[in-house]
Amino acid sequence: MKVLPLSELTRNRKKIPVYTDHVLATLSTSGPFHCETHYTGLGIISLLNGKGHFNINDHQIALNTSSFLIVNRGSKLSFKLSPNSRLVILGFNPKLSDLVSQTMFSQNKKRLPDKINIHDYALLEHIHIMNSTLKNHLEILIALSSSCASFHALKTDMVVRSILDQLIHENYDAISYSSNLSVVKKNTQIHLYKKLSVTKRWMEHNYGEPISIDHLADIAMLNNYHFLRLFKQAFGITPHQFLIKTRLKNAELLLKNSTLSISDICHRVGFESVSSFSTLFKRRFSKSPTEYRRFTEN
Amino acid sequence: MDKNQWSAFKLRVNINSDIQTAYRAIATAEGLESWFLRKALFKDPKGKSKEPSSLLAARDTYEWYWHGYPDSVVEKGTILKANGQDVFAFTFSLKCPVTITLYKDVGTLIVELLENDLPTDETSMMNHFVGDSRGWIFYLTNLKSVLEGGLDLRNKDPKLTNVITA
Repeated sequence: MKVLPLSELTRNRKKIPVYTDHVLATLSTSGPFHCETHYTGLGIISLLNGKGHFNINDHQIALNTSSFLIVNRGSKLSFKLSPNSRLVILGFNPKLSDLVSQTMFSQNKKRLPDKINIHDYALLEHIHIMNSTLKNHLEILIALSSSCASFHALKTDMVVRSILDQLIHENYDAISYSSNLSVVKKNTQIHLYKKLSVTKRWMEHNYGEPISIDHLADIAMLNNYHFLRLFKQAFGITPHQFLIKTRLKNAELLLKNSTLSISDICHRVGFESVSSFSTLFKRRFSKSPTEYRRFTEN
Repeated sequence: MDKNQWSAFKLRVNINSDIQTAYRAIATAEGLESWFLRKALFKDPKGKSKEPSSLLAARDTYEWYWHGYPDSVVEKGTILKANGQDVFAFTFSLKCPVTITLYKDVGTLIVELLENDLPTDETSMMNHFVGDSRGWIFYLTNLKSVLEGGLDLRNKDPKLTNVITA
């Protein structure tokens, strides 16, 4: 991985940059900062402090420390940062990302429609909710970039590869799910998929709260009927079924890894009634929550 | 300087121990965890997990985890050679082979480590030749310390970073 000044990474006003290695740029601002429009390579943009407004292919995105942005190869990006912000941009080596995605897509048995460009990350080019793993990885990369730690280059490669693998997996899923949408125009497909994907991720982070279809459709900026139909079409499952699945998956983790009571777990993952939680849990895992906990303890 | 000189490095350390003990320290999971890794997981070619104390064999695969780093930072590779006595080789950084050979020199056990086939472009030279050789110097020193009954010199506190001991 090369550590570059931000100006080096954002200087490509006329052509798409081709990195010969993974690249990392960081910037700490003391006052307002403006970066002019430039072309990007495939990468991740994150703020460890402060906030910023990003314009990517004429779409406005507000970023803060609880979100991050994936940028596609060849996108046009400009941004403004508020004072006391800390920006991190991680750009991926295109040769490696192409090679890894080629391998991953060819190994997967699910047939994707023809004419799909597996090296296009347009479906992921939107705001994502920051997770502790990525935050931790970015912090490790920054630390390793000026570190005397043993095998620092090897460890850097391991961290970047871990982030890249996750990104390619997500892109595979995105291409796979979005191809289920019966829309003709590619731009419409990308636009709709992004809305559905953001809503799905939102559910994964807010499953513990009461969630209504009205609210979800609102997040997706679609009407209720359209949202329900498209969500089922893309993911093969209704939003309600997805929510139940997410709640049960998290309940399973809490049963394994915590000493919380069944009732506490039930309410923490968003169920209102212990009896309906137990019924649904047993249907999915063939054991009641109590039996499941006893089973995993043994 | 000739670029080929950056494609490999060899390190030797003298250790006051016997070959059998040293071989177990480099060719078993529990041995590797005593001086090198936080966690070392191995599977045989059929995918069956190996016992921490069992000797590793060629074509076994590994997952290595480091002190000071979370489990998501994992190095995966393959054992290339393990003769059960004095030679142990595996893929490592950028899948380059690392070969450890044990032998006597002037009556003393020598552990010799050779990492070769390193790419010689400028970035790889700077990052991997320098980074890997520096890393192995510390870990071979720690192997000597542990096998000679001394301290385990590794930093095991994940909050402490930017030190040569992890």
